[in-house]
Amino acid sequence: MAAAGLRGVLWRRAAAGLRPGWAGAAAPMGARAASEATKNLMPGPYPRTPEERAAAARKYNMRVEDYEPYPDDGFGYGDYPKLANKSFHERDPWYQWDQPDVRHNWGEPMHWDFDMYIRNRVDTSPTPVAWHIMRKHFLVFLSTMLIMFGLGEIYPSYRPVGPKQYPFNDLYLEKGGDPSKEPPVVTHYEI
Amino acid sequence: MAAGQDPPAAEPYRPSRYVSLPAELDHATYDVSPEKRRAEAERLAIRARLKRQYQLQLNNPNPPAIIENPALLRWSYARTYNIYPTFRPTPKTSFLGVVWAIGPVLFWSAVFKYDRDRKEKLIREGKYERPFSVF
Repeated sequence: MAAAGLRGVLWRRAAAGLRPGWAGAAAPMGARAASEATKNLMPGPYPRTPEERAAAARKYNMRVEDYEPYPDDGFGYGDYPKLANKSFHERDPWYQWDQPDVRHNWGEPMHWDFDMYIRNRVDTSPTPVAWHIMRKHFLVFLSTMLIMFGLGEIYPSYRPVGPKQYPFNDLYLEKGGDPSKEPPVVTHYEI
Repeated sequence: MAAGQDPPAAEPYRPSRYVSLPAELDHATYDVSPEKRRAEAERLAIRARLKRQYQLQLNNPNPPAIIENPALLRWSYARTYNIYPTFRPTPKTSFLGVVWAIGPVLFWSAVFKYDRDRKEKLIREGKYERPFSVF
C-alpha cells in the first residue's frame, strides 16, 4: 500500500482519531451482524445525487473523494466502486494483511474482478521490459515464423525422391501372383 | 553515461493498459503534497478503524461463530443480485447481447449446415468415401 512510509508515524494518531472522527459510522457498521444486512448496507443502483455518492462511499468504507462508481452504461454495476486495476501481486508482501494469502484486509472494498486478480491468476506488476517492446518483439518473431512456415508449404524443398521400389519382381508372389507362371520382369533402372 | 546520451537501442518505458508503471517512473510516488498526505492519513484512519473492528472480533474471548466480512458480502451481492436491477437496455448492451448470445448460435448453425450440405452433395455425386469404423 502506498501509505507504507507513513504507517509507523500516523498509526497512533489514526487510532486516536477513531472516536471523534467517524464515530457515527464506525460503531453501527461493526456491531451489526452482516447476516441481517439491511438494504442500505448492500450495493444498490447508480448514485445520482452527491448525497447518494457520499452515502455509498461511506457504505463501502471509502473516502468520498476516492469513491468513483462505474459509468452508468446499464451494464449492471450499480453503485459498486471502480477501484484500480491492480492485481494482488503488487501488494506489499510484508504488511500484516488480515487475509495474507489474498493480501486483503477485512472490510476493504473488493475489486469487481477480485477473483481474477488473486495471486494465482492475472499479474499486473510492472514488467522489466516495457509492454510495447515485448509486444513488438513477440509479433516480429511470430510473424517471421509463420511466414517462413507458409512459404515452406507453398514452395516445399526436399531432396529428390522417386517411387518406392519393391524387390522380388515388385512382390509378385506376395501380392497373390500365380507361382507356376513366370512373373513379369520389373526393372527400375535404365542403362 | 554522459548526460543526455542514451545507451544504444534503448526505448523509453511507456505506460501500458495491462500492467502498472514501475514505482520509480510513476509520478504519483514522488507527489508528497500536503493534500496527498492528508488523503493518505484519512485512508489510514479508515483502515485502522476496520483493523480494530476485525481484531476485536478475532480476539474476543467469546468469539462469534463466523466473522462475516461485509466487503465480501457486498462484492458477491453486487456480482449476483445487483446485476438485474441495475441493468438497462441501451444500444451498447443490446449490441453486445446480440453479438455474444445470438451470434455464436447463428454462426455455428451456418458452419454445420454448410458442412453437412457439402458432405451430402459429395455423397450424392458418389465422391465421398464413407469412413468405416468398428467402434
